[in-house]
Amino acid sequence: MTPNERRTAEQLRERNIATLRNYFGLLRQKNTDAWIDLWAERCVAFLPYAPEGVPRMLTGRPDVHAFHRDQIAAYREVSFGELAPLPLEDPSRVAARWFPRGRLVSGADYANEHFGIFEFDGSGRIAVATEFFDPAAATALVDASRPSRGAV
Amino acid sequence: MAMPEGEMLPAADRRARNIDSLRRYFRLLEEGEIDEWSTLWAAEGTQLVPYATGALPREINGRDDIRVLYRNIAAGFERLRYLVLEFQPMADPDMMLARWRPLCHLVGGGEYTNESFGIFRFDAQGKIVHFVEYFNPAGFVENYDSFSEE
Repeated sequence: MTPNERRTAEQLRERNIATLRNYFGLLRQKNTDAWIDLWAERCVAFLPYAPEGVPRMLTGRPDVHAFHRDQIAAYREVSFGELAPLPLEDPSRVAARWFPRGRLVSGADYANEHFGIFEFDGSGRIAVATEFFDPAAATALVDASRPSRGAV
Repeated sequence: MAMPEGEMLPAADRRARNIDSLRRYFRLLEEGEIDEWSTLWAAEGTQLVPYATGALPREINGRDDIRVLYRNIAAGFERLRYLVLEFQPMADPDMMLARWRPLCHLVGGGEYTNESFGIFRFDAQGKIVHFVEYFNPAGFVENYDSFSEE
């Protein structure tokens, strides 16, 4: 990633939106090892509407990586619909809506609408992300991402 | 063709005007002045509520229907205050991101609070034409019946 030097506000927004498109492309491919490289080392992710049993804050790449690796592993297949980026006046920040649709490994269908605000550092990595989703719909995904309790 | 007045304003002035409108928007909600509040909306304004549950609609079309819905909701409040109110301008000067935390004392007793975010879009005259509101339905669902008169 290239530092911010000599970039106009519009170029910064374009770079950050391109990163978000890459972000969802990599998640769709379940390539969380490449995806985590889009995050800053000391990143923070907030999940204010997380249902019970799910952390509302993740700090640092290892925690963000582990959480999303487990989440994405719960899908047999997933897509995120048409990303709707909403850049802020501050060019280091982009809000977005996206629409996960997928089939879980359990066989259940999953659908939700997410809204997030992403803050990028000087090198174009995600430093802070705040992500909202419907917790009722997310509960099925959370349950599916948990290890089997050995009932069978 | 005459250009609407709003399109003549520089971006910074449109942002300032829209923030003023939103300050009025939340103050009028606190005061329960829903008729005056509704004048901040364009006649064809629409609201989306993606996480709506129960009787709350996911989409409301038109200022008249929006006013009726908010009148019903406001009737359930003894008192409403916003503990947090923040606005973040967007690259598009006719759009604004807002964050707010309502604290409502309900007519039937008890309190309701939430952590809400919204995206507002304004027309050239500074009226709200579109609003997408996100709140935690886990906090809202148990209280919606208390908000509604009907």
